[in-house]
Amino acid sequence: MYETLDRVKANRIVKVVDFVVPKHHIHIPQYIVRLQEMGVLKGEIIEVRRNTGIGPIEINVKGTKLAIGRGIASKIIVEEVNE
Amino acid sequence: MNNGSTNSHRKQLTIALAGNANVGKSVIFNQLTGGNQIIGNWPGKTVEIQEGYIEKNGLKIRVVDLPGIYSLSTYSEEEIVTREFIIKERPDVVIVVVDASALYRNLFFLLQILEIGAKTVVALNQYDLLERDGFEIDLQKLESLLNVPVVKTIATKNIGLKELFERTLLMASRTYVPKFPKYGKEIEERINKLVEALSPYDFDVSKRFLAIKLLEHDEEFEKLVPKDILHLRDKLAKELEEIHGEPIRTIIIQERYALASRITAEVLRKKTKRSIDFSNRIDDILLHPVFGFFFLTLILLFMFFVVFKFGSFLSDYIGGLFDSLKPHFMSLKLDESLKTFIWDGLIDGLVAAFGIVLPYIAPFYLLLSFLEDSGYLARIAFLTDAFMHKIGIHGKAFIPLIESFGCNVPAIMGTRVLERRRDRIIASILATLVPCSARSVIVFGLVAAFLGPIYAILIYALDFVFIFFVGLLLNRYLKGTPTGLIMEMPRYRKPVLRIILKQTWIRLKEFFTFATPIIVISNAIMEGLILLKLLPYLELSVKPFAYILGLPPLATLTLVFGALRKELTLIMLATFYKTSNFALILTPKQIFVYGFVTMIYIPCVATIAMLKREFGTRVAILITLFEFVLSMILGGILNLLLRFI
Repeated sequence: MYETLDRVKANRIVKVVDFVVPKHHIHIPQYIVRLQEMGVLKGEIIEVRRNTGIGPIEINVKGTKLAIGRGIASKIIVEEVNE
Repeated sequence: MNNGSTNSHRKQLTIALAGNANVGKSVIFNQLTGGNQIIGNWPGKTVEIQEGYIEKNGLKIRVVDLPGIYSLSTYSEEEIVTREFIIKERPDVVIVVVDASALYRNLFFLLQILEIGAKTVVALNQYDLLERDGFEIDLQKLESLLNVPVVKTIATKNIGLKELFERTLLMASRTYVPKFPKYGKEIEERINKLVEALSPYDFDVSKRFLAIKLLEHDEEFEKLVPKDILHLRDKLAKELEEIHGEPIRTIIIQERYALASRITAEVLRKKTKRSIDFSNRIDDILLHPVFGFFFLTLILLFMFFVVFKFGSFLSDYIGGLFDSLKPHFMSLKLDESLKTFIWDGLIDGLVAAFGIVLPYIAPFYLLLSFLEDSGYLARIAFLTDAFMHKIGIHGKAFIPLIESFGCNVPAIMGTRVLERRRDRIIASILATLVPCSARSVIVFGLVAAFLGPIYAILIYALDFVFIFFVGLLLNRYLKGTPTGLIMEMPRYRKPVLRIILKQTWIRLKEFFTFATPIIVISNAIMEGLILLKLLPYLELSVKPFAYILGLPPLATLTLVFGALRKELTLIMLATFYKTSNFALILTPKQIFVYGFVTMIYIPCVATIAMLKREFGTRVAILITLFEFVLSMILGGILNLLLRFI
């Protein structure tokens, strides 16, 4: 089941499926590029460490902890993986 | 800055340190250079670059600490400055400081440095953290994969730095044929086509690096090449996008990460079971939606308490010192009015800077730097992000707002942590409305002393509400969309005294070199106005404002001096009326209006000058006017309201 990262509860492990990007754009938004540069790429398995329903979401990507603002998190489509 | 790349017989070496944020780059810089450092600005950019010089075997070595960044794109000025430095200044060696415990993500950055083709040495720093996580890295293998020297370091314990330095010097003296990172077949083919098309031209950078940057649609590099190359690029990029089904920028990021992942898999080995991550345990409390804010409030209150206790003690001491010098100076055989001018006009300005402002901001910045180095500031950004978004900026902007409680001048510099100009301007405007230590002195000395502490707290509360609404307003009407937060959460660590002192100094430096001269000069101008007996005219000109605020004209006049430095309002009030019992001059209601208006009515000249330096004259004037008009409206409303109570 697909959902956006901001809705994933803490301590779940999810896979990045896609980003919500305006279609037919030559340049993808800067913040998506930055996310990808920080390691949040399609297919990446990430651990949601903290999501209290308000404020940023803390995730673990390949050993680094990232805080992602709620607005940006709502642009990341993920799918839960069973581990 | 000199460019001596072709000068082979020079005696100076340049070593640049590059790397992600929070990898211990500054610690390595400090250990290598000792106390010998200069902080300078990269021309045309608001990015600071630190330099240090060392002598070794008759060789003068310049070590440059580049800003902590995650990529070499154009996301922030720091990234542009870093790559410009490496390309234009051509350092002899670039030391890439890598967080060994986050090798995968750090390799992403390292690969980009290798793409440039500069001589590189890798410092595998924080190796102890990697071991604590239960891993080890195969150094020989990593060296052979990257074709550059790799040194294990633990900078905070001064381990491995000697070897790092020696291998860096060795690298500088030997010839180096760069082994560029190789990406997937489809991409390599197209990079090569672009390189071929670029061959008739001459550039500062390697053609391969340029080709990759062109594929990434990097605006800065697009400017360098002719149109037909860009057409070719468009065609090649389109082909790649069709093959991969992704935008070209994503493809290149994925390629770099794919390579980073392959390298990581080959060199990283699991040794023991992972130990407990203490940072995470601490964060369960400090980032808790309830306790987190509780501790944040507690920590900030404690900080202010310490600062004001210690500050007032220090301030009294320094003030007393100058006071005891004054009779000696006044007994000198000099012209009486000249003596008055020198003391009141020049020395008093210095007394203000060193005796009134410095005692508060020095301990304040010391504590703030302590929090910064421990990793807690990132947690403050995390906690306040949701709230800050309501006013159009993200959590990182809360940090300059805290800095503002000390002095607005370094706080405006501090907004450089934000990525976008729009965010920086919003944060700076809000920062100028935060009561700095000088304004707190007024609120304590006037409102708290004559009306009681409850009213002082009320003024602070009013100010915070005001700041919030100004934020809402700015977010609504300033062009541009708010930026979201993407921030690495550093691990907690034991702060290093040397780093704390340096951070404190960087913040204080702005106060010394920038604010102090302005304070002294404006003090002299003020004294000149008094000596030339121009005050009655000024008093006449403030009459309309006095009417609006319901204050006596003479008291309103002190606000003009407050524009020079805020605490002057109170000093001038005492001077004009020849009493420091302000209850005799102003009614309680007037004291309240006066206290509130002083807090918000205008940034002081040093702050305005800093706004001008960071954002240009137009923005500085607009902000000043905006705040002045707003404060007169609010002060007027407050005055009217209080009449009915």
